[in-house]
Amino acid sequence: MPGVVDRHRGEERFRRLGLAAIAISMSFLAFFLVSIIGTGYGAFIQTAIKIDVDLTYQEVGLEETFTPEDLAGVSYRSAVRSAMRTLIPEDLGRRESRALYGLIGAGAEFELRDIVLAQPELVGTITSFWLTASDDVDLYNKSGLTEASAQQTRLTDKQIEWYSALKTDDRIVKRFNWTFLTGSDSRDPEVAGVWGAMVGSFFALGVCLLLSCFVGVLTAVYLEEFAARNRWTQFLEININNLAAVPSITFGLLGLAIFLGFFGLPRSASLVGGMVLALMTLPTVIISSRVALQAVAPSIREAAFGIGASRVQTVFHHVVPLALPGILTGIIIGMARALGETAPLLMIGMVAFIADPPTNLTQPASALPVQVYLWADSPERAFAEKTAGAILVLLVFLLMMNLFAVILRRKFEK
Amino acid sequence: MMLERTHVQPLTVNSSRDEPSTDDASVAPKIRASGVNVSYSGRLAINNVNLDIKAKSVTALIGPSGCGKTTFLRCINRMNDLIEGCEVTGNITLDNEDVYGSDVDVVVLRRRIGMVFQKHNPFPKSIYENVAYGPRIHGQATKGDDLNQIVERSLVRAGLWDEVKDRLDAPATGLSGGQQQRLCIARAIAVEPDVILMDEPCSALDPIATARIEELIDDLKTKYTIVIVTHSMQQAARVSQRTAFFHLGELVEENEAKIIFTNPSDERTRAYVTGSIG
Repeated sequence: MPGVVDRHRGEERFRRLGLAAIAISMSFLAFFLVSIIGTGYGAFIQTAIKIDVDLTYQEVGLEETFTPEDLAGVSYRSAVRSAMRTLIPEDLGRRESRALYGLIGAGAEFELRDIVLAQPELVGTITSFWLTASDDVDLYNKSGLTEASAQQTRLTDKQIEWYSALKTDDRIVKRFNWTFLTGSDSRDPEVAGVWGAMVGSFFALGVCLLLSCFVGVLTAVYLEEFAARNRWTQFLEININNLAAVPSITFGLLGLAIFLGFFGLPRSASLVGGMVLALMTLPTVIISSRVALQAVAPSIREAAFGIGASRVQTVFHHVVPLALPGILTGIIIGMARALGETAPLLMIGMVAFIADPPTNLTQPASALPVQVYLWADSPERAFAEKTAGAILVLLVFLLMMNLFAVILRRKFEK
Repeated sequence: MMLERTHVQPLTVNSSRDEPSTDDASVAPKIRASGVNVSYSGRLAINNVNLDIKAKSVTALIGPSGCGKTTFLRCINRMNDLIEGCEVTGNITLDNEDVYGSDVDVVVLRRRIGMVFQKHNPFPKSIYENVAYGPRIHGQATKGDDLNQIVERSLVRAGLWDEVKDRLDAPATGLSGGQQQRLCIARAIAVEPDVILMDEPCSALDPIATARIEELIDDLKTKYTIVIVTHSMQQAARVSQRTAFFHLGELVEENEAKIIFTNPSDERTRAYVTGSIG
């Protein structure tokens, strides 16, 4: 039977092709994850230097009795600098001193100030503090001190010498970089964090969720359950399907023209960002909700109508609850897409340098993908790992949302 | 009038001769259809149907597939309103009130005319909720005790109480097919309708479950007017007092079940009940 042999061979061939396709896509994914995690994990680790800061009264210029205002007025910069100088016994010139100060991070004086303000009893003592090192020291410390990385570093030979001395003195450690999760954008990589962008994303997604839930689900329910099938609804349907395929930057332009230009809403605000994202998400939510509603068995509608339920009762007591898992999945997938969207936010000005997290919907805000975009553009080498780190944070959020969608669906399908 | 030209009229005279006491001409029919035409997007599905349905008895609608018997059934409680492009003309009355009158609220109408479908379709909720839903939305019971009573009474009448009384909170979809269909009947009678329409209620059930439903229909006819569409002539013969035969969208003949199955007056009816067509 030659036909049978051919058929078996054909099936085998198809099976292998399918496996090859999966292998290719999985290897791309693996490559992507390995490279992002490999680059990004460094963003979660920072280097700290231990310095002994002289906080005696004459040194910081305070009387025995001092007010919190006096304490805030102390020059912590010079305190940090003199502590740095005591680490190196040599006599240094002006230029060399500046190189030495370059080892400690630009934010170190603020760290010190925050600690001292929280613990005023430290005044009058000489205390050791672990303060964040500069991004160059951080990179050099994390690079594993290979020959190649030593050539790439921006540290001078003298600085490397000091670094080695501090290292052997156990004054340099790596620690978890909380600043990356709690700080906001900064020009200095060692103090830059994603918190501000996370808050902006959270606000924008909240607005987007509210709008697309109400408008999208109601539109889908109306079109599917109430509207008559005629030319007009067909026209609407075609337009909604087309909108789902419109490039997202177009929605940004629309938001710029209407929300900012016509209604005069504030630029860069997460409110407008959320509205623009909602415009972009709506078609997705409407289409997936309609599919979910269509999937509800007609016999359920007949049962409800047959017992004398009105249309609204039929829809909201029986059809929508049954379609809910599908509707929720659609909403969450739409939200996940909105979370990763950059282009429309660029158009409405959510691409500015925002050093403080927004506290309300109308304040200028950034968003996670925009932060990635901004950092990827930064010249400092240390921002490369921050960029990958921010992508990791974004991926974790997307993963959590998808997990949430799965859990919700499991729960409602019972 | 048009009514006199149909097959129905002489046969009604026929039947009244058999049971002169109850089938008196002065007893108004529960449901009266006159000159009913239904078309789906312009295609005629049933043509000029005139049929009187007696109160508190079982009327079976039989006929080959596509003959319009289900279409006619769905006209009575206006379920055809839900089908896009379906147009109903003619006149159907329930207790002398026009079912298609402009002042009729379909919600109220469908409370009075319950329906049981071909495929058992309980709501994917608990057994209790399935029965309680109707009385609740129609405001027939608001207190928990009243509702419990209605649920129990309906389940007892549907012959399901003993099987489910210990698991009223269990999902209805966990019942067997026959139990689900009896639950659907319980759901229909929970709102105290006058009429129950049944659209091939046993077509998805095995013979034992079918027998139980048929017994149930026999019990229910003392309280309700039942119109049942069925494919099975044996079933029609077993459960119905009167039988109407539909063919190609027309009501060919309506008479006592006995006469339809033994001595029909129309040649097409004879051919169908003897198995030569259909």
